[in-house]
Amino acid sequence: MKQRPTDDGAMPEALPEEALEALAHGREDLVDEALLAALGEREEWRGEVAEARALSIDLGLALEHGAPPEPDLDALVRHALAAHPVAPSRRSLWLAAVIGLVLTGGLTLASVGVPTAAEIWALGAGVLALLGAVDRFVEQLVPGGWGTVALALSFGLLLLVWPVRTLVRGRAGSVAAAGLLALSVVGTGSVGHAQAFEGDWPEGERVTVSVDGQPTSEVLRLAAEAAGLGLVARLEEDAPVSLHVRDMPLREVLGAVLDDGYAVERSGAMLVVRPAASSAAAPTSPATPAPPAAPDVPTPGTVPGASPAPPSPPPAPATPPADLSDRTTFGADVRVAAGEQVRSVATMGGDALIEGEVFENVVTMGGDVRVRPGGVIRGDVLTMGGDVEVAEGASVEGRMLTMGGEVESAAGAQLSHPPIRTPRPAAFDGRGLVRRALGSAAKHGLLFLLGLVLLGAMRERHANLARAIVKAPVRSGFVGLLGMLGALILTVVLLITVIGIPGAIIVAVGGFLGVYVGIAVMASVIGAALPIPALQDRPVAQLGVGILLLYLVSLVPGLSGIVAFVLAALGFGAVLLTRFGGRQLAGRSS
Amino acid sequence: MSTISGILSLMSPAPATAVPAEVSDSDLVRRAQRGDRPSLEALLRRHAGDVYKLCHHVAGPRDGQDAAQVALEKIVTRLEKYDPAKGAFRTWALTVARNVCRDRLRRRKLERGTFARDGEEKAASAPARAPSPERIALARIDAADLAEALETLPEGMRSAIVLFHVHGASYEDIANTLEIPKGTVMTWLHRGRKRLRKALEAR
Repeated sequence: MKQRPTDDGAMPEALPEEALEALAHGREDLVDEALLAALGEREEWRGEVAEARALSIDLGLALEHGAPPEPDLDALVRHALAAHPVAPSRRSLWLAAVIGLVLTGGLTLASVGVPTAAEIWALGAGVLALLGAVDRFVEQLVPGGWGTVALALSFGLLLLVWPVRTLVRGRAGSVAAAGLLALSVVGTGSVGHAQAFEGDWPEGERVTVSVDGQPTSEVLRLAAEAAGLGLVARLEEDAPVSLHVRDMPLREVLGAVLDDGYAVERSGAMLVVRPAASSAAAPTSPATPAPPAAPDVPTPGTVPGASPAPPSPPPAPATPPADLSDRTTFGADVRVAAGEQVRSVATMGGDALIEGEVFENVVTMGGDVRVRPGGVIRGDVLTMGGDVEVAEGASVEGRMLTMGGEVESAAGAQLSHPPIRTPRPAAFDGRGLVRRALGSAAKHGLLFLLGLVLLGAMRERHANLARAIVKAPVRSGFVGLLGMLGALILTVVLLITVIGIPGAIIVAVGGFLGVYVGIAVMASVIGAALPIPALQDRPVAQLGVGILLLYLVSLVPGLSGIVAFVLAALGFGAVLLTRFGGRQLAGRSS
Repeated sequence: MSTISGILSLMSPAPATAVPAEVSDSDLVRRAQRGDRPSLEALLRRHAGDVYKLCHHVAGPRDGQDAAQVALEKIVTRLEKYDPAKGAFRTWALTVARNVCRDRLRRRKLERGTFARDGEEKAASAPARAPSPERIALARIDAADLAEALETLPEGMRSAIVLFHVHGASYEDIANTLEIPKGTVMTWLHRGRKRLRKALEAR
């Protein structure tokens, strides 16, 4: 890069700045030969060069004179090295993983006991029952069913994809795009099923109707009449409709006539049309026949200790009636009255009161199940965060599984299987305390394994999180506190909107994951802060000792809750500030 | 107890090796990138002074040590991304330090509004003719005044001046460090000195 005179080759009046700079510092190699030649003839140029050189020398001296005070370089280097924890060796990671897995597995088995085949079976059945209940919730309570959920999830993904993209750096775009595409396809495909059809709809049931500009209720009546059915219709609007169909399936015709958001129930010879949102409150099939008086049939077996069924409940028929309905509510109780028969019951935030007969599962989330005298549940019972009460003369033929709830059965209740509770109840005797201690140890073992995953697979993120906690503990704690509160509020709000339930699940799971990741990193920080020379530069050992300390604190009543809360806030705050460890927190080490 | 210490020794990182003083930067970098802690420490000790000086002059005496601390942390955490084929380690380390200073200055909003781009004047003014006044005694100027005068320069110009006069960097090294053309470096140096002199004369 030589300094040429000018673009057109003419000699400039003044010496160009770059040439002046180069000449003042003995870099003639950077100056064009023509300029160098001209320099010999231009005295003012030579004067400028001399002046620039002198200024440069003077400034150099001034800067030398104004050199900064000698810093504590040792401290600077030490802090910088502390910002970069030693990478654990593969050997240490694998060794710790094996130890952690064996210990955690052993502690888990020791605390909860070896599960029996019946318990495993009940858990499997419980999961299936839960999935079925969720499906009914979505289909019956969410306008548009799974299609709406898919669209809501797509929207949620859009909102979440940017913060989460750091988790899968480089692939976020394709993953998100693929997810959005898949969800959009699912959403587009299923959003068309905007009405909920209940009961059995015979394939060959076809109708022919031709009518112009009649109210919807009248058109429905004509369609039902053409199929030989009675009609009960509760419509929010009765807009005029024209319909001309010949030999079309009744279900398709009703789907075409009704707006979105209606439930259509085929119950015996009746057709019941009502707004879907009121399905919970609506009475069941208006013409449900009373259960037939059945002959005495031996019940499948009773739990030892339960008395042998004084007023014998109605036995299970070979096949349940075909026109049974499901009962699904959100935030409201369900009551199956005496003499009533339903296929299944699912509630979220409400209790299930069973006085009649339920042929399939009863599932409650955040609500109790009460089976009153004469009530019969032929399927399984699953409660999450709710209790189960089975009164004398009531019967449950399937399995009973409660998660975090109590089970109370009267002496005369008929239970075919012993109820299963998770977690298992621990008696407040010495053995129960030991079990609780072992259970807590198992949980901390899982935390250790999570920490190992972070150290091994996401070392950079782990380091960023640890740095954030050390650099800005107050800020992390404050942000963590706000974040936890925000996540809680957002989850509740999304749950209330029903349509946002999938989003609530994502927020809740993300929040829990963030808190646990934060606590695992906190354990590493605590281990590293201990003045134990043997732990220096041993990240796995630091994590292990940190977890051990947290475990010991967890055994102290009263203190454990406070410590866990503070650690959760600190760790979660660091997770939020660094976007799951994806970026560094600016600032100086404290 | 011996079992515990045995497990701890198994969990320890790879054994550290002593670092002779004559080991080159590139060797130290290679070892440090493989996780050798002593090499990383030796590398940091070798260049911490330069990083500190640059930060002191560019970010200012008040912020210099803080900026140097952050710069060294970034050098450590980003060492894996450093590619020796793209330049000397010292140049890369000073680039990191300069970027840290620039970010901090931006946050302090000390950048001059008269500069559209980093260190470049919006309207290039013709170089003023030297008034040939009696030269001020720059060598005896107060350090605080010099620091304040430096702060009147745009960050890029200031970095170029410091790299040239304090670190003895060549035009080419400065161009690599600041990631600008060599011609720009020369222009900034020339104009920067003149502006600095003017700022000092005004005191």
